[in-house]
Amino acid sequence: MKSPREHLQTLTRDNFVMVLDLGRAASHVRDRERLSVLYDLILEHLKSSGSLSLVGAESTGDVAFRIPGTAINFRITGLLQDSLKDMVTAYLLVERIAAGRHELVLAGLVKTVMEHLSLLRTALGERCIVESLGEITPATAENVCINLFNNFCRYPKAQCQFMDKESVCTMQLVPAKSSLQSLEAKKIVRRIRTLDPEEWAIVA
Amino acid sequence: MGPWNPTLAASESSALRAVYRRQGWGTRLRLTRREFILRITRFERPDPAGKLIDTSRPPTYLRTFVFDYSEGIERRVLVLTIQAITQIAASSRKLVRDRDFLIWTGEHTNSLGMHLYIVGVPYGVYMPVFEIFDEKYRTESSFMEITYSLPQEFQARPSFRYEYGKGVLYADPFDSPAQARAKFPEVGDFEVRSFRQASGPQKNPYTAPERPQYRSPTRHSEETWHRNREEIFKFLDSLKGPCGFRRLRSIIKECFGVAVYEEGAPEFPHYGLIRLATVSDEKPPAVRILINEHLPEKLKYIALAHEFGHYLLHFPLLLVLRYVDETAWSIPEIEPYCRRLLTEDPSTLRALEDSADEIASLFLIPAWTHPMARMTSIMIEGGVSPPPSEMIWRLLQPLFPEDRFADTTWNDLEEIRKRAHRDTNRLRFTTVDQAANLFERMFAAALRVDDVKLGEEPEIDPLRGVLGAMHAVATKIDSARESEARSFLQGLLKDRISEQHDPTEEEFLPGLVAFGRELVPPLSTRIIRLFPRIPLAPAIYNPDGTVDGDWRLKTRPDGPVGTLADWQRWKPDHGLALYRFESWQKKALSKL
Repeated sequence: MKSPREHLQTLTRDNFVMVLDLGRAASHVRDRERLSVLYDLILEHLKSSGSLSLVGAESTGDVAFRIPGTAINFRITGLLQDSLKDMVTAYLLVERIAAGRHELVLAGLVKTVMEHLSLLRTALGERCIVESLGEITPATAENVCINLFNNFCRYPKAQCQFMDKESVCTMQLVPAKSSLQSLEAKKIVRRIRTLDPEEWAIVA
Repeated sequence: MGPWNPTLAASESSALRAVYRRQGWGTRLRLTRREFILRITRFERPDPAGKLIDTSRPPTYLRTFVFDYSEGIERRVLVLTIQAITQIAASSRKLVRDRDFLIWTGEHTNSLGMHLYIVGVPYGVYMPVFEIFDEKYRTESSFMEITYSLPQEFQARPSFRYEYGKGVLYADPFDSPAQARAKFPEVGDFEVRSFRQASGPQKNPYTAPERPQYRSPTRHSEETWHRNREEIFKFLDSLKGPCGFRRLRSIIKECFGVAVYEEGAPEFPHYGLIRLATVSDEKPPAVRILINEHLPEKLKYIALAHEFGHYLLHFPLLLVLRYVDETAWSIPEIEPYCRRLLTEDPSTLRALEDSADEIASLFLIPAWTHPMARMTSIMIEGGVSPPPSEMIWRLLQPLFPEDRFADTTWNDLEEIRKRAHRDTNRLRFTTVDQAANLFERMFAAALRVDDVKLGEEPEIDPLRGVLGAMHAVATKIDSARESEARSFLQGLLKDRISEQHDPTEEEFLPGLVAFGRELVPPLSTRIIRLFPRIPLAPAIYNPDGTVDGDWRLKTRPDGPVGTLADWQRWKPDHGLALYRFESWQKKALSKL
């Protein structure tokens, strides 16, 4: 096991996606303003978990590129890493229903959605379906299916029922629709358009 | 497939021509170089309805037929498209018949509120093929005009494929072929498939620059730097556009003799850093730039340009700082004194960073574009010229990883204007220290560069006073004995500090840790006193620079080796200055 020091790195608004290994999850956020909001949310999350310290980088013999904004050192564990990925997913989902709201409102909603995410069963494909709702426009069952079908399984270790021998997703339209309906019954997702094609969003 | 495969790119045409000539195929073979050809491939798995999936990258441009939207237009255009495809397939000319291309359709509401139905064929498609479509579509009464546009401007999706005499209909991925044929009975025996758009390669915002012929030595004296400066300014003048991290790194290394390394150590808190090597011989020092390995490639380019800007503008300061570092081994008072000189006026360091940012901005938005107003004055968008600041904002977009506005369409114009205006206004009220990210710093620097009036008197160099004071101290130190120099500097330090309040001992202390250097206090004195230091580097068999490993004198690579305890026992009233290895040095040692 790596010692915590090995994970100690400087985190800034410019490098957090790369340093925190959020590339796949954050690939749907290519906008500087949205990324900035996401960075603030992540920072709050890291602060509340006690993983942060400020960087003091003085040096006499060097002319260094002083980092814009406040650079922060953090220590990260595997569990924290997973929760950060959940946070990006939650942010993408919340953006659909509360775009442009104040950061504090977003932070509250993200926290609620993260709790919802923890209830999802990855082996039944529920997690991938909910993740997809934040990645596609419009968030219909058809688009969820297109987003997942034929692509490599996102959680191959979960032994999902829709994963084939080559670790490819085989989620069809009918199971996608029925999964969304069962998630609706659990009050995790809701319909935001009831006419065909039905659109779905997270409950927050 | 015939001998002429139109899916091959035009660049392969001359080689192909030679092959065909040898084979005795088609002496009439004529390759249309201007035709944009996209390779359409088959996805290895079927869609949810079991149909085959074709996949292709999005085209850059489409030649489009625009129709006024009316009820039933899709079906009428569909019939015309089928007629055109049938005619192309039946053509007696091989060059017309043997083709493989997509036909795109979409809708768009223009600024006048007109709802349009648009059909696109590949831009620059072989003219006789285009004429067949033209002839058919003109028979439709709602036909308006032929133009060209980006596929994303009208949410284009492929509806048909003409594949070497065969028509393919692209249907909904959840529809079976029978369902699709029932929806569109006009397609007859056309094959039904679905389409999946492959993600296109990211557009490369960089261009290869003209490499300077100049070669600088790797050891940099002030004379070398003066020569380099001239050549670097020439290089900056010759830049047509940003050149990218790898190219710039290679040019800086080969032409200007500055080594560039990527630093992956977790203790490295900077984006980039420039430093001079400590040398044990009498020769001038080598210069190296360290760039944070954990930055995206696009930001590495900017960090490198910034550090190179420091070399271009602040090499004399680097020389002085190296002198301070080395002198502090025996006269530690020089370090807090010089740090105080540099930092007591916050504007000095800020000016240092600002000027390096301005040089970096010239690597992003080259010198020939300034003043930007000259360029924007001949541009009209929506009846007005864009402000220069907006144009600078736009040019910077593809050079940062968050490239939402790197590849835009007319639909994005309003949002672009809003964002550029907002960012410009925010920068008016913030200083460089308050910049939230690298983009804001570079944007601010580019605006400053664009704002400089030609022929204006340059501002007084804020570093001049600092360098003058440091030179004066250095002259005094060189002519005095060590103990005299130390008491002289202690006096200077007290004078400077007591200007505001009584000095505390902490104020004499230099920082104990800097990247690649760590101070270990001596055994026999308290930590709050200044102490001479023994400069140590990890010995070859302690390549990681671990504190419990063995160390040798940095200035005498062939000298004795000992643990830190050994060195502290040797001179208990001296501290140890540990110069740990940088990542590239560790890598080099691991290969030995």
